[in-house]
Amino acid sequence: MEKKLYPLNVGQMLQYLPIKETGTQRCCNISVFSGLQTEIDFGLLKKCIQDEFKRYECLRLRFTAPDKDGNVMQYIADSDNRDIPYIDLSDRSMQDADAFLQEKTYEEFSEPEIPMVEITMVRMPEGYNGMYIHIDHRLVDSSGLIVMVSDIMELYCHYRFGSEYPKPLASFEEVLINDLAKANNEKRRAKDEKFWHDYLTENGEPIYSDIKGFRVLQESRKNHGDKSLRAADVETKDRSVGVADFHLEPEATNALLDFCANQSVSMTNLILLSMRTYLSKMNGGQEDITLRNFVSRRSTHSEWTCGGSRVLSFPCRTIITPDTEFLDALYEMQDVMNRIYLHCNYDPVLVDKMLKDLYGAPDNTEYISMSLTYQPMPVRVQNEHLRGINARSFWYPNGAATKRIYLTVTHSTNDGGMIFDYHFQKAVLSYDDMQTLYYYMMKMMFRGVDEPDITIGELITTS
Amino acid sequence: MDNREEFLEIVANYCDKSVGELTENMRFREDLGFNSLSFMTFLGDLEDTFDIELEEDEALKITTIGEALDLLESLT
Repeated sequence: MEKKLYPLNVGQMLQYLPIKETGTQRCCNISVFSGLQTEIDFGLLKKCIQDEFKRYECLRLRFTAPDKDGNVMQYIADSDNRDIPYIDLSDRSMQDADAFLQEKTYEEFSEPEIPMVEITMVRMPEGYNGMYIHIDHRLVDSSGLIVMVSDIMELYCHYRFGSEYPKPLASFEEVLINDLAKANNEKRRAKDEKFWHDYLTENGEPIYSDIKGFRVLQESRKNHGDKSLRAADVETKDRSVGVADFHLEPEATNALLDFCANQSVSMTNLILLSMRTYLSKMNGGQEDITLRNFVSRRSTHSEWTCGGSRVLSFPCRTIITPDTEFLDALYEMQDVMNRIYLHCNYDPVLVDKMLKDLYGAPDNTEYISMSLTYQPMPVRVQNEHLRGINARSFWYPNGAATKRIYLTVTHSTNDGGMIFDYHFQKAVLSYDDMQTLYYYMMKMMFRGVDEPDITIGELITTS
Repeated sequence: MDNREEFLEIVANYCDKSVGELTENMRFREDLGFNSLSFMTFLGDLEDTFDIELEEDEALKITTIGEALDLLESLT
C-alpha cells in the first residue's frame, strides 16, 4: 500500500530544526524511566506495551530522508509488532543503573524510515520496576509521553485487576490533518501575522539579559564591534548539557497553588515573573526582559490524547517598571501571555524569522537567555489499584543543550511538591549558577506571594 | 446545525461534558476546566468557525457559556 506522506506540523518542525542546525538527531530525543516500587508481571507489561503500538498511532511514525532543502515528511506505519526487550539492573546501585540508562539516551535514530522509539522493560534497584522509553521528540512531547505511560498502565490494570478497559486514544493522523488545515487558513494566518508583527515592533528591539549580568551582552558587543548591539552570542561549539534539580516541598507548593487559585493567575506566569525579576536584578534593574515560554498546545480531547509534539515556544516580553506592585506585574505578565495564546497557532519559527528581519541581529545571537516549560500534569498512574505505590520517573538529559538555560517545572510523582529541573549549557554556566538562580526565584516568588503589594523595585533591592 | 448547536459542539470538544450536559450558567474555568491556553484557543476556534472578529478585552471578560453565546449572537 502506498504510504500517505504528510509534512511535519509546526510543533514537530520546532523539534526538527535543532537536528538540522546541529546535524545530530540526539538533541531531539526524550528518554525517561517510569516505574513503580512494586512487583510487576513483565510478561503482561510486554503485552500492554505491544498493544500501545496499536493504540497510539504516533508511536508508528516514520520520517523520510531529508530532501535537498533538508526537509522531511512523515507517515504512519501500518503496524509495529516488535518484541519488547527486558533488562535487569536491580543488582546495581541506583546511580549505576541511571548511568547505564543515561548512556542509552545518547543513541540516535539517525536512519530514515525506521522506528523512532525504543521501549525496554527494566527491573531497577530499590524495588522499582517499569520501562525505559527512548523516543524522538517529534513523536511525543512530555504531555504525550505521560498520556502514553498512563495508558500502558491502565491496560496493565485492566488485564491484571479487571479494571475498565481504557478509552481509545485519538488518531494522530486526524489531528495532524486538522492542524495542517488550520495552518493553511489564510485569514487566520494573516491575523496571527499582524499580531506578531505588532507585538515585535510596539516596543522596538528587545534587549538581551543574562543571569551573569550585563557583561555577557558587553562581550558580544565587543566581538561584533557594535556598541549598540542588543542580542548576545549563542554558544554553538560546546553544547554539552548540565542538569540541576531542586525539589520544592509540598507545603510550599500548595502555598503557591493556593495563591494562584485565589488571584486567578497561572503558575506559569508566577514562575515567569520570578525568572524575569531575577534577570532584572542581575542587569542593573533592567525593566525590559524577554523570556521564552514553551507550551504544549493541547486543548481539545483529541489534542490531549493524539500524541505527537505540540510544544510551541514564543518570546514573552514584558516591560515592568520598579514601582509596579508584584500582583499588578503578575497581571501584566498574564495579559501578555493571554494575547500570545490567542495567536499561538502561528509558526514560532516564522516569529523568530520576523524578529531577525525586523532588527537584523547577527547570526547565532539571541535576545533570550532563559526558557521555561511548566508541566502541570504529573507522571502518575491514576488507577485505584496502583494508588499509594511509590512511583519513580526519571528524565535523562539527551546530552545536547540548544538553549542557555531551559527550566522545566513539574509536579512530583510522590509527594505533590514541585521539581525545578534546570538544563544549562555547561560551557558557559555552572551548577552553582543554577543554585543561585533557584534560590532567588524562590525568594522572590514567596516574598511576592506573602506581600502582593510589594513593588518590583523593592523586591529587587531587598532580595 | 445552527450557530448555537455548533457553538456547544465546540465547547464540548474542550471539556468532559457532552453537548446535552452543557448549560448556559456553566463557567468556563471553574465548571468546565478551561485554562488560559485552552480558553484563548477556544476563542480562536470561534473566530475561525463563525468568521467573526473578537475584541480581546471584551472576550476576556466572558465567564459563562451564556455570556459567550450572547457575544456570538451580537456578532453574527
